[in-house]
Amino acid sequence: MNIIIQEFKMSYKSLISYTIGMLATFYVFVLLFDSFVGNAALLDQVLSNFPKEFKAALGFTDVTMSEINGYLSFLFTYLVLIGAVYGMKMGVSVLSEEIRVKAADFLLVKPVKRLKLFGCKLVTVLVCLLLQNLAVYIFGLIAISMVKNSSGFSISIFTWMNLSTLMVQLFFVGIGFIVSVLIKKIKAVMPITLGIVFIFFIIELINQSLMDAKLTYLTPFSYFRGSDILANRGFELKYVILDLAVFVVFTFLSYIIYQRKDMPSV
Amino acid sequence: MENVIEIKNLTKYYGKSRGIIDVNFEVHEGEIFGFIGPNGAGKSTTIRTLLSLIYPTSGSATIFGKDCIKEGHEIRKQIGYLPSEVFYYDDMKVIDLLKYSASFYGKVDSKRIHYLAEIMDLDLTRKIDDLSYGNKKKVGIVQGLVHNPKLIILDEPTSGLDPLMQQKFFELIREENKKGATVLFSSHILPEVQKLCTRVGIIKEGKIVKVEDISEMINTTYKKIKLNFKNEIPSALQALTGISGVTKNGTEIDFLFKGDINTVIRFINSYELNNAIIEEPDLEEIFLHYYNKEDSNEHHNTGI
Repeated sequence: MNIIIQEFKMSYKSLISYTIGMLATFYVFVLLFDSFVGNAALLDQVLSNFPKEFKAALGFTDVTMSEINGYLSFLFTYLVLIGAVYGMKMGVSVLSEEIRVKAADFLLVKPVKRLKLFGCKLVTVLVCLLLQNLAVYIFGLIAISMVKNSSGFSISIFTWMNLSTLMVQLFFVGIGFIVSVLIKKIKAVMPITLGIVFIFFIIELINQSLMDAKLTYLTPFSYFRGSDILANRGFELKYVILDLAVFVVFTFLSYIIYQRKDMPSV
Repeated sequence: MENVIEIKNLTKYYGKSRGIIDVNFEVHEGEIFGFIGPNGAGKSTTIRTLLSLIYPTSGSATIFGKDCIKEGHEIRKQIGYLPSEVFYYDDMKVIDLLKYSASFYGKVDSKRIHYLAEIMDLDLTRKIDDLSYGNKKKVGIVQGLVHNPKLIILDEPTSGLDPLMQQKFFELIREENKKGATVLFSSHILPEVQKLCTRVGIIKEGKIVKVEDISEMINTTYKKIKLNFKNEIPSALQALTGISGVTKNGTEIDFLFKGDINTVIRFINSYELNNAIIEEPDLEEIFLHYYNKEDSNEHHNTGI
C-alpha cells in the first residue's frame, strides 16, 4: 500500500492537469452548443461544400451536429485523444520513473518482489484513469444539464462515449508499458508519448477518409467512434476484445521484461 | 565463522562488454570487508548483482545462505545499501523519503531517523531537490541504516562527505558493526579501507586478484624509497629481495620496496647518502604494482 500511495503522490499533479484540460475542452464546447444550434443550418451549408473525405477525417460524417448526441460524439473524438495522450504518458512513465530519476538503486533494493512493484504501479495507473473518467463523467453531466437545447440527450450514449475514452486509454497504457521496458534508458516521456499517440491518430484520420475496414483494426481510435456508438448504441464486441487483448498481452509482456531487466547504473 | 555473503563464479557481461568475470569471495559474519579497485573494475557491478538490480550472466551468489536472485526480496529485508551515486525522487522532502524508505521494513521508527539525522547533521525538512551532493549522500546513509540492517553494503560511501562527516560516518559504521552488522565496503581509497576494514578483496578488470587480511596487507605494504648516493649507486642494492619498479637517474634511484624495512636501512647504512626519502606510495602506485605483478603471475601460470 505504501508503494501505491507514493506512486499516486507522484502522479496526482499530472492527473489533475490533464483532467482539467479535458473538462475545459468539454465545457467550452458544450456551453457553446446553444448558440451553435441557432446557426446549425449555416454550418450544414458550409460543410456541404467540403469534400467528403475532409469531413470524414474531422469526424463530421454520419452525425447531426445540431443534435446534442451528435455534437458530443464530435467532441469526444478530441476528448479521447487527450485521454489517450494521458494514458500513454502514464504507461510510459510509471515503469521508467526509477530509471529516469535514477532512483532504481533506491526503490528496487527494497524488500519487495518486482512483481509487487509492477502490480502497484499498474494499480496506480488504473486508479488514475478511473478517477479521471469519473470526473469527466460527473462534471460532463453537470455541463450538459446547463444546456438549454438538450432534448434527445441520451445518458446511455453519453456513458458509452465516456467508456470509449477509458478503453482507448487502456490500449495506450499497454503500448506505453511495453515501450518503456523495451527502451533501455528513457530520458523524456512526452516526445515518445506524443509521437506514438499521434501516429495512431493519423492512421484513424486516414482510415476515416479511405473507409478501409482493414485499417480499422490498426488503431484504437477507430474501435469506438462516436458515430458508431450513436448507430449501435454501444460497442462492437470484436473491438472490445481486441482492445482489451492489446492491454492485457502487452501488460503481461512488459511484466516479463521488467522482471528480468537490468537497472542501468547512473 | 559463518559466511554472510558467498559469491561463486559470478560473471556479468553487458552485451559484449565486460562487467565482472568469475568473481569468487566470501564475507564472514561480523567483519568489515573492504572491496577495492579503481573505477570501472567491477565493484558496483558485483554489488548491484548481489542486490539483484542486475542479473548475472552466470555464476551465483548467496546472502545469509539464500540465493540472491530467487530470494532477493527476502534477503533485502536485512540489507542496508548506500549506492555510489545517490539519487531520489526530487520532489520529496527528506523526512518523507526516509519514512517511505522505512515503511518497507515494518513499522517506521521515527526516533531512529532523528537519531541518525542528528549524527549526520542532516536537515530533515528540506526538499531532496535542494540538497547538495554531500547532503544527498547523508540522506543515503541514514536511509541505508534506518532499519538496523544485518548487512550493510556501502559503495564508495565517502565521496562528497567532508572529513568531519567522514569521521562521524566511520564511527557510525563501527558502532553498527559492534552491534553485529556485517559490512561490505567498496572503495578506491586505500587509507580509508585500511582504517576500517579487517579483510580486503582487490578487483581488477572484473576479476578478483587477491583477498587478504588487512593486517597482512599492512605488513606487506610497499614503501616508496628514493635514495641519492654521494657516489655511484651500489649494484648490490638491486639484488635485495622485495625491490621493484626501479628507475635510476645518475646517482639517484627510485624503487618500491616490499618487506622488512630494516633490511634496506641496514644496507644503506654502509653508504654515504645525499638524501633519503621513504614514503607511502599512493594508491595508484600500489595498484599498478599489484596489477603488474598479478599480470606476470598469470602469464607464468598460463604459460603465455
